[in-house]
Amino acid sequence: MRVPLSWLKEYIEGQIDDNIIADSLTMAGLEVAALEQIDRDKVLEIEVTPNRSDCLSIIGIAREVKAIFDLKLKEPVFRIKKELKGSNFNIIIANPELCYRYAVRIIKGITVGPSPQWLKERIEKCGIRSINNIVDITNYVLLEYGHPLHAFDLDLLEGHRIRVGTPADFGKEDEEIETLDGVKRKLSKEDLLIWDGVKPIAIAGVMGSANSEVTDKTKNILIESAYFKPESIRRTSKRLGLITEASYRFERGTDIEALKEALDRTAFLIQEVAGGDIYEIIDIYPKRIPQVKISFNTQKLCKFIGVNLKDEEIINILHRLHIKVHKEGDLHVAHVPSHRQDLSIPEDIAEEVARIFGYDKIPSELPQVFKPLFEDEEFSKKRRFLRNIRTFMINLGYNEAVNFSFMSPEELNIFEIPQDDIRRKYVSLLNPLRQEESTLRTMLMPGLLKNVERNTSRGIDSVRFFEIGKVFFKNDETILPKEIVHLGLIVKKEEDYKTPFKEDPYDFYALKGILDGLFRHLKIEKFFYNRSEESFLHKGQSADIFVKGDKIGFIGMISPRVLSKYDFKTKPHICMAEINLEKLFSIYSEVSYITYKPFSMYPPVKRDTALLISRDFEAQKLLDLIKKYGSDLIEDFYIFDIYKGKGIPEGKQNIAFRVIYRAFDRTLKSEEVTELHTKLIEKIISETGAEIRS
Amino acid sequence: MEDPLKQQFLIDLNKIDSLQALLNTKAKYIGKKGILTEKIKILGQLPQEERKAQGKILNELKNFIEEQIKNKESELKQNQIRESLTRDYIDITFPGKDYYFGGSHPVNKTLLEIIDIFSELGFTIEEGPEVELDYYNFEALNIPKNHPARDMQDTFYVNEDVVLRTHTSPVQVRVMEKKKPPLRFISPGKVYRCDSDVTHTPMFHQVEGLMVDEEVSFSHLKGMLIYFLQRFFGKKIPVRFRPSFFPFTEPSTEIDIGCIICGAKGCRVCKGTGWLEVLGAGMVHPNVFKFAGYPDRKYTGFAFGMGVERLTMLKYGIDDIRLFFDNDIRFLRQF
Ligand SMILES: [Zn+2]
Repeated sequence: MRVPLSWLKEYIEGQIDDNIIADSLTMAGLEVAALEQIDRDKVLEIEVTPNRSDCLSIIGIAREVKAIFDLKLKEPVFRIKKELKGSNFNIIIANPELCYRYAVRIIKGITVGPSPQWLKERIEKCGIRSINNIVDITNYVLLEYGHPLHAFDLDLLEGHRIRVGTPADFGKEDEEIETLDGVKRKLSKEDLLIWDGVKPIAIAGVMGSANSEVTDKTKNILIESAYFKPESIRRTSKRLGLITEASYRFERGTDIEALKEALDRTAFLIQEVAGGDIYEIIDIYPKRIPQVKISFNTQKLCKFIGVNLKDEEIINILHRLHIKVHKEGDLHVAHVPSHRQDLSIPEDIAEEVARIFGYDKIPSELPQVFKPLFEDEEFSKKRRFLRNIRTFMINLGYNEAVNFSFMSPEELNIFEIPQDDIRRKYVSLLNPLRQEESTLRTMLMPGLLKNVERNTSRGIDSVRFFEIGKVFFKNDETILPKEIVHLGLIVKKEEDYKTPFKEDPYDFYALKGILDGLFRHLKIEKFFYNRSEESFLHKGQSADIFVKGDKIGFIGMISPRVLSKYDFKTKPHICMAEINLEKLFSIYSEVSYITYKPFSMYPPVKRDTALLISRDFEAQKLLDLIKKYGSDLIEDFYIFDIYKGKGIPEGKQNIAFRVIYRAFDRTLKSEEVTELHTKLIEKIISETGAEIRS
Repeated sequence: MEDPLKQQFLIDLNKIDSLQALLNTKAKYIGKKGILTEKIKILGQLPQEERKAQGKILNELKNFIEEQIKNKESELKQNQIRESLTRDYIDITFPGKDYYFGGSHPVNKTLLEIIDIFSELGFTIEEGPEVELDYYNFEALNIPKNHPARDMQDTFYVNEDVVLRTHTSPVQVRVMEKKKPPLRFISPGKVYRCDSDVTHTPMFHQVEGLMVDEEVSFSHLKGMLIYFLQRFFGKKIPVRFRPSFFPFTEPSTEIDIGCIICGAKGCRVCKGTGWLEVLGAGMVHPNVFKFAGYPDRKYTGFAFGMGVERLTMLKYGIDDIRLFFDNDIRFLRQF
């Protein structure tokens, strides 16, 4: 709402500083977003909250200023000198549920022309374009009183009557109207329309029709001032996508009691600028809005806000707001004026008192003693679990990404996700902003891959990202989808990646090591990797991750086919992993509390062995064999070298591993270990066909 | 006159330059078959008197040799350490292996900071679904269908009854349906608005809070939120409370802090006002308690909400909200 200060001040008795007005309005809840200097005037840009439709007018704002500063209001003074009778016109409200009151005045013999300068200037300062003196006056009064008015060319109305109702009310299906903006609009049978004896002439409360528009040729007019049900106007305006100064006010609720004065004021001013004879008012008022009375207890009110105000102070504030108060036993009763439809409960009265008193004057108090509240134990644990993983990843050098929860179904095609895969059970939005964001993501990888692509296009060679976020799956049994927290990891290096050290923090094993480390950190033991079935991963360099027999995710190099769909200028190495953290958490939750286990103080005996073994032999088998060997004396074992190539026969590889023996109760003898180790090697050889490498 | 054997030993000792040579020399004289050892072995064949005299001489010589060798050994070891100290020399200016910390996302960093401050104040955490029923997102928060307040938030719809939550307030009602006061919690999380331009992203983060008990007042709301803002932005930050409107609170307020960019003098960020809006809050509307199934007017409480991106931008001087979802590592590594 744009409010020229010069206009505003006309309604207030007494002098106030311009800047203080702006500040005080802001601090009373009418935020002045900007103060614009136009010529010698200042225009306030006020952000009126949806509850305060009474402030969508100059007089409305003046009422606030008056209340804040405890001044006097100067309402416009005017008098229609002469009213003619016998207009021979009928108003029929066919739908009083949607139109509570409809009033008109006819003015005959006007001269349509350009508006006088003062009128033009005022409405233009408020952001309304000048059209002609008649339309401008209706807009002027709309700005002044906040009540929308509409002028019809009386001679274009047929049948000497106006009817208010929906197409359904008149037994019709739907209608089409060409509105004043020159657009033909389809109306549904529930839309409230204004009709003459024959045809629709306006969309009630939204916009008039071209078929009854006031033009240069107009001689006689009919001015409408009405009250329409806010929800109805809003529904129509929303569906048509048409918001006007009128609809904006009607849908927020106008002052039903003030519409007659607004109509009189309009007629009076039109006569002033365009001449003509004013006819008697026709005012049909079938449905009254009862006056709201609110009982409240002043002590409760004070306690609720946290102030100590005397009854007189409270009553004084309310009086300043045109709210009359009378006492009834222990309670006070507030009589809400018709322009304040936002007030209905004692808390509303409390807000009025608090904001005029001043929020800043209310003491601030920190409650000193709390009863402790307990968070759900499982939820607490999960929160710590997720925070823990986040810290773990950051400390390992991964950058935390946050992506939108959206994806495009096309991304699932690029990732070659099978048709029956659960990741195809995505949730679609009815009104997406863009095709690429038309569904909710079912996997984190497409987003992370795009992050990698973008960073690469900006010349960054090596990146490591992780994201912890939800994915969404449509659930046939429930209204709401399943929301599952996933962890996504992605690393990328260029083909010509160089490091002065031997370690490569960007390869498959680096990523796998991180997962292994994470599981170990979480004390999850029973996890294993199987060759992956995922179509978007490199067949030879990928694995599905299982914990306790349940698949919880995947890890692997991206398939070159998927990579080719992205915009990489070079051939980067990209390795990624995604894990269902809900599943991981449920396993983590089952891990019982840690209890200390004693360990041996006797010295270990280490034995290293190198085996020549078939090239496609998988290391896990070797580790499993040692584990299965089941000797209590084996404390630890690990592979420390794998070598293929020069010096190794074709089709073979060299695997070297170390077994550490240690007894709990004594120092092991060398011979004892040799015997144990020899048997172990023999067993491995017999089960794998390996040879000892000398 | 010196014993020729001793003289020979001293000559040998002088030539020694390694531990191995030392061991050889030691063996030559006092090893199992060393010269001196052999001499001592045949002592028994000598007549008693001569044996006594000779024995004394040889033993002294043996002690002498042992001591000399021990000294030489320690001298050699010292030399070796000295040498290795000069030889095993690395370029300590060479960069370390890449174990650098990754960047934490500034929004999550702020989110955790907010959670920590409210945890100190005894608030617990509650969460709810991001895809939410229209009922919890709007109706139960006193925002009926066809109410102009719905214009305050552009909503993504999944269907007529299901939306992407536009704020984390629905958690309020979900929690109140299950738990009786006293309540004191915050609900952090992602929210969605059908809006995308220079200053809006379709997804962002919010923290909403609720405190409900029998005598919670607007004064308490002020006290708590001033405490929070001063912990977050520093003790000296000016704070002001403006009346405002939210359908689910009454009275409602918006809270501004003195502009930290210009020091409240007025700049582009604060649009010349010297103030920056950072929080929305208010006393819980009785209708919300009604929807939650609480007895009428038994409890009072306050609710508040804040945009995490906004707080993060102000705290770190970030001027483009879109940077948060761009995930450039040069951005992330700064946090
Ligand atoms: Zn500023």
